[in-house]
Amino acid sequence: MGLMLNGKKKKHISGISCASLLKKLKISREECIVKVNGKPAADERKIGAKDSVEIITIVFGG
Amino acid sequence: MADEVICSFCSREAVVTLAYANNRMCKKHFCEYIEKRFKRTVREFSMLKKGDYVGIGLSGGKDSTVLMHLLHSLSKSLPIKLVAITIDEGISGYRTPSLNIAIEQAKKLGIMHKIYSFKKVYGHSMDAVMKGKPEEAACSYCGVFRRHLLNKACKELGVKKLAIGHNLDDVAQTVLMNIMRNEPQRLLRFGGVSGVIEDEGFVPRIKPLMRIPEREIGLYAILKDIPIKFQECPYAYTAMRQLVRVQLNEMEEKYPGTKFRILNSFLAIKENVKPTATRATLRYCKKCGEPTSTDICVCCRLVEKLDTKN
Repeated sequence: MGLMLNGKKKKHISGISCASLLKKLKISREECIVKVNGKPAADERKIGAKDSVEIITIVFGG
Repeated sequence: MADEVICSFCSREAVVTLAYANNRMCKKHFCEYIEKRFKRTVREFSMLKKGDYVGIGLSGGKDSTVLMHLLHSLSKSLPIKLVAITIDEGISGYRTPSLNIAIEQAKKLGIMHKIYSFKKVYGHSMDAVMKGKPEEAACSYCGVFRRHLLNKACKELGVKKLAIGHNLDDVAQTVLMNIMRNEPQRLLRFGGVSGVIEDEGFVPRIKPLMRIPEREIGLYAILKDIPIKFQECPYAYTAMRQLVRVQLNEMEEKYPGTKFRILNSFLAIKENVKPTATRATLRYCKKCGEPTSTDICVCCRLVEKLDTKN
């Protein structure tokens, strides 16, 4: 259970989808992967209170 | 589980939503989709044929490493010879981790690997180039040096084609940037197989990942356990490309499929426009012998400028 953004712990948010989570955090879905309980998840996957969520930025410049 | 999202093609849990295609895919279907798209692009542009000696521009980042894996897998059904070519630009803290991945992955696949450095060839690392001049765009030095050195390396190694990891995002950004800069001739040289002039001096570049969005390449790397270091080039903030990238991603979120439509529009326009560049305009640099349209190529002019300053 928890929310990690690029290795840093953030306040957990549940009851919304992965896509809504990214919108809430103002992160482009085009630039990251959301893992739920260690596995990449579809945009519509709803986040539960007991889920562990990890957001990994994968698109950088250069 | 109630919260699970199911694959549009089977009953497994989906790992990705492809908004532009209005479907969701599990690991198996997504990986097959990426591999098919790669092969289809190779066929569409007749990028490779049996017996080709192909260089892979391998930075050790996600795109080029995934490209190397896909080409290695293709080489089992289409006999081609591969060599990985890495350019060490000399960016401390940034290049070393990806260089290590490049070395390790090429070794793992049994692919010959050659490393060339800016410092050794041009006498200047990127860190040295950027010292004291934050206002100058690093990408214009780095891009020119990298292209020049890759072409030179390919010829040294006898490579006939160079595969690079440009993805759909890179291509859509490049198309827009060339339009915004009013550089139609540069735009026309761009494509699945680059170059409009056939000359021994130019090693044609192929882009087998040009129909795959950047995010999907990253996801494929994660799903296939290809070790990738996701990190940003410390000089990237100076580039116009960054701004185009952010705006294009906003468009893609609002209007899924935008990047594909930019690519397809460009290809359709390219079919119908004749480039003006001809062999008559082609010369060879008096200093390095590389093809150019002037007496001294841009790369040699930049090196000269740096040498003078030091």
